[in-house]
Amino acid sequence: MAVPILPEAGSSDRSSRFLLVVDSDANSLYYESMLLQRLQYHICSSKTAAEAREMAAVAVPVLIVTAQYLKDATCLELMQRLKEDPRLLRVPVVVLTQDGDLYGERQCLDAGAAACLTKPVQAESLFVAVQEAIEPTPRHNIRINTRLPVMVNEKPLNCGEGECASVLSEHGMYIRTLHPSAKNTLVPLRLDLRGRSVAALAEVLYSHAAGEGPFGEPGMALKFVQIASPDQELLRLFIREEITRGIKPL
Amino acid sequence: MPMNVKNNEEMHRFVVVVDGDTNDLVYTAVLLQRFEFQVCTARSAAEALEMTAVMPPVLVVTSQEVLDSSGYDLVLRLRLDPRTSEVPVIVLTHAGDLLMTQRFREAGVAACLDKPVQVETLYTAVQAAVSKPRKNLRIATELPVTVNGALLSNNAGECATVISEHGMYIRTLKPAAKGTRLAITILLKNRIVPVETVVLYTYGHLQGLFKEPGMGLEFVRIIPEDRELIRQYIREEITQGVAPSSSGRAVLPEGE
Repeated sequence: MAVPILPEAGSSDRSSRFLLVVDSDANSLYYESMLLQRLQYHICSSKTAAEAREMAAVAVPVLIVTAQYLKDATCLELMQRLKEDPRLLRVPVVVLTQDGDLYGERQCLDAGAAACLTKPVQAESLFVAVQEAIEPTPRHNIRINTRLPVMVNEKPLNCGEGECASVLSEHGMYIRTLHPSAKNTLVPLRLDLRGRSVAALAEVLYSHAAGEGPFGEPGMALKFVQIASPDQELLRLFIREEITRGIKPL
Repeated sequence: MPMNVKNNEEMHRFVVVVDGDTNDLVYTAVLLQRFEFQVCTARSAAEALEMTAVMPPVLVVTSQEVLDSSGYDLVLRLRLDPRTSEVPVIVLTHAGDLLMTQRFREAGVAACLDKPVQVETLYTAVQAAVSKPRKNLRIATELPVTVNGALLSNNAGECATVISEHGMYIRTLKPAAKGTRLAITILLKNRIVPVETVVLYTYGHLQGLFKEPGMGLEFVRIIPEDRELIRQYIREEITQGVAPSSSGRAVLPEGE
């Protein structure tokens, strides 16, 4: 297994971004920490506001994700204390609030929180909030690596030889194949997801033929241009389940 | 980069890191994440036990000193809980504290490492504790190389893509056959490092369909100074931006 090298500071690679997660509930802290690491961020976790401040002073995070109520303070108090340190003044804070606490949310946003999300936080909401808070070009959909068998133009790709959908989002996919279609071609797709057949019409955004690049993975990137809402919902659920597998909050 | 969906075993490389020293805690936690583990951090034994109750980790890395008790107490309490009694523990101790090290060993810890822990030492201990041991740290890289005197086309993506102190993977459309001996020079930190290598395996263009074409090489002759240079390079890359307390440096540069 090769260990990735962190890129230079300022790079948009998420693995170089250090986030601080603060939650006094051990279950929530575990879930939120794991989720952010699966979204490819580096984190440190902390159970109290005091620890969080100490940690942030040692290693300035690019973002703090905190629960609204901590064992030793509220998030408002934590945000106020962070502002007293000039190095932490501009660090965005995402607050995880209790369901239905609209007044609390308003208070947090008024105090300068980048976003307020309801606990237990959904993977997609957290992804979007983090992206918008710190990424120069925020993404709106989680993309996962997969190895899903797929049919293109009603013909199954040779999964045994490695041909498959290798990246998937709810709006498109990358198909690894030695026979990619040309850019702008419309391609009917069918993939089997948890025993259900999902059909879509997709447009080829770009393609890499074998040997082109020369090290680009041969295949084609596709954007769904026609997909039934229930099928898109199934894709969304599949992605969410994959990304939260084994770490769902109690 | 999309998130990797791996199998359950790979997804549960969950490690709890415990240290009363914030700087060291961040240092160890970031290193382990760079080793591709998923980490939660705790500063006290109580917090650590709360976390291991939520999800038994594959490994606990604890300092000898934690906030509310000691690393030794934590080890004993982990051993008493049936859910964590088999979880390997690596302890980071103060250099020279032989008595404490002996007590930890008697308590059955997987390894005792002196603080500040060296990257290679931690990597080897972690590998030995949780998986098939791999002795040498390997990193992904993009180093220019020459093969038998000819410079590979870095612009076309031909380069050393993985390096350890004992070998490398060279991405190229023209890999040599298995068993071939090759004279390689690596351009590393403005120095030319010559090594004699043997090809362990190759992937030709379109062979293995989606394998990256190239060849895995083992160094068969390299002078010790050059090996040390490679070792230092790997260490610097993996610790980029992080340092233990004793170094007196900030852990992560602002803005990273």
